[in-house]
Amino acid sequence: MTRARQTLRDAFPEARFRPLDGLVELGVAEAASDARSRPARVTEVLSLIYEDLAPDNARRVASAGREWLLQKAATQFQGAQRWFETTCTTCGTPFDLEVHLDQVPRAEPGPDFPVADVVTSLGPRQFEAPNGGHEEAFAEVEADDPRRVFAALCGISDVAEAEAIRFTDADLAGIDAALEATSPEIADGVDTICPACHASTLTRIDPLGFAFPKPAAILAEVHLLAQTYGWGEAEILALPITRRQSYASLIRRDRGVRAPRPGRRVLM
Amino acid sequence: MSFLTRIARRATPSLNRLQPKGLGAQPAIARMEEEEEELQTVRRQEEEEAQPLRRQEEEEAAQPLRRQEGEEELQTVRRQEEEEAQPLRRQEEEEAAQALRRQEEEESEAQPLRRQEEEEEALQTVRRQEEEEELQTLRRQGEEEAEAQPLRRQEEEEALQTVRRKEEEEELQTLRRQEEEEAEAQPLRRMEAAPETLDPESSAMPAEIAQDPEPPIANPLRRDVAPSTPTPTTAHPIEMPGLDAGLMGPEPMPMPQSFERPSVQIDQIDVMIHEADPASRTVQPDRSRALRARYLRRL
Repeated sequence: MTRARQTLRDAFPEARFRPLDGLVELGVAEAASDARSRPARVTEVLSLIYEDLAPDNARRVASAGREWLLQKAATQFQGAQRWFETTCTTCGTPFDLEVHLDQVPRAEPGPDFPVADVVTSLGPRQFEAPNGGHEEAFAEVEADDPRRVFAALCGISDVAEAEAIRFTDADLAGIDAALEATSPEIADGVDTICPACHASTLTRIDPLGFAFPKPAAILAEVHLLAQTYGWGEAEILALPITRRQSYASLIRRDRGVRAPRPGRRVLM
Repeated sequence: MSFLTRIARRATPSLNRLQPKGLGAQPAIARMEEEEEELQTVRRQEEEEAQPLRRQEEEEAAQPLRRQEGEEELQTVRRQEEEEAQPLRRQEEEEAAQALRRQEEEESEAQPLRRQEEEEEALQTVRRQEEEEELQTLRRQGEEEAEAQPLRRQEEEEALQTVRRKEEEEELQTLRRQEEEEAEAQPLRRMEAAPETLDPESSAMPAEIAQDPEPPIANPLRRDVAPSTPTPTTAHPIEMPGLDAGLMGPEPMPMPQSFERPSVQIDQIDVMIHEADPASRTVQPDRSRALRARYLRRL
C-alpha cells in the first residue's frame, strides 16, 4: 500500500490576503504568541491571514512555501522593514543587519516536486517534500537525527515509519539530498560576520518573533475605545486596523499617555 | 547543514533571532522585562481607570468606620480639651465675677451722685422746656398781635366809617323828614294856627323832655334906638334868617292895645322844637338834643 501524498504541488502558492480588521489581527496575534509549536502557530497564522488557506491546506504547503507566505504576511503588518539587529553568538555584541523581507532569496522546486525518488538500502522508495504537517509532527517528537524522523514522516509508504528505523546513514543522506533537490527552499536565516569579533553568526529570520502584534496591545486599544466611546468589542474589532490605531492614539494623546513604540507590538 | 536539519530547525524556536532595529539585540530577559513593562503600563492604565470606582467603594466601605473613629476621636479630643479648659474656665469665671462685683460696687457708690445728676439734668430739662414754651408763647402772642393790629385798625376804621355813614344818613333822613313835615305843616298852620298853639310857653311839654332842665331864660336885650331909626312898619317884626318869609305867615302878631310897643332887637332866641315822631325820640334822646343844638347854632 502506498500512503497518500499530502504536499501541495504549488511550492509558493499565491494566496489572497483577508481584509485586515481587528478580528483577524487579534486572531493572528493570539496564534503567533500562543504556547503551541512553531509549525502549528504558522499553520494557524497562515490560515487566518490568507483566504485560500484553510488550516488543512496551510499544513500541506511545503515548508519553504510556508516560510515565504509568512514573510509576505509580515510585510502586511510591518511594512517594508529593512533594518534589523542581532547579537553575535560568540561575543554577544549587537549589530545591525539590512534585510528585505520581500526580497528574501528562495529556490524553486525540482521538476519532480513534490516527490523525490530515492534508492535506499531497503529498495527504491518515494518521499514527498516536507510540508507544514510534517513540521508539526516533527515538533511533537524528540529526535536524535531529524533525517530519520522526516524519513518516517515523508515516506510515501504505509510502512515508512518502520523502514525509517532501518535506514542507514547513507540512506538518510540520500533521502536528504533527494528531497533538497526536489523541494523548494527559501532563506530563513542570515549568515553574517560579527563586526566586533569577526566570528561567523547565524541569525534566524522568524516573522513570528517580530512581525505580528501582541494580543495585549490590541486588547488595550479595544479597552481604550470601549471605555471612551462605549463601543462593544466586536464593534471595535470590526474596525480597520489603521482606524482603530488612530482612535487609540488620539485618546492616548488626550490623556497624555505614552503610546507604545511601533516595534513593541510585534515582540514575542 | 543538511536540508532536513534546516527544516527541523524551523520547527523549533531559536534564541538568536532577527529583530527589528532597536529591539533585536536585546537579550531575552530584557525583552521579557519590556513585555512586562508594557503589561504594567496597561495594568496602570486600568488601575487609573479603576481607581475612582475603587476609591468610591473604599470610601463607602470606610465611611461608617471613619465616622465611628471620627466620633470617638472627637469625643476624646473634646474630653481632653474640656479637662484642660476647666481650670482656665474657672479662672476666667472667677475673674469675670470679680469684675462684676467691682462694677456693682462702683455702681452702688456712684448711684447717689448719678441720681443727683440725673435729677438736676431732669430739672434743667424741665426748666429749659418751660422757658422754651414761654418764649414760644410770647413769640406767638407777638406774632398774633402783629397780625391782629392791622385788622383791629381796619375794624376800628370800618366801625367809625359805618357810624359816620349812619349818622350822616340819619341826619339826612331827619332833615328830609323835617322838610317834608314842614312842607306838610305849613298849610295847616296857615289855616289852623292859633296864638296859643304857637306859643311854646303855653303848649304842653312832651314827655320826653319833661324832665330836661329848662333852658336859660332868654332875657331880652333892650337898647335905645335912635329916633332916626324908623320903626318897622311891617307886620313882621321878627325876621329869622334862613327861614322863608312864608314860614312866619302874613298874619301880624297880636299886640296888647295898652302896651306901648318898644323896639326890641333879638340877638338870641331859644327855640324848642317839638318833634312829631315819639318813637324816634324815645330811642335817641341825645340825638334830639344834638339836633336842637344844631338848630340853635344856626340861629
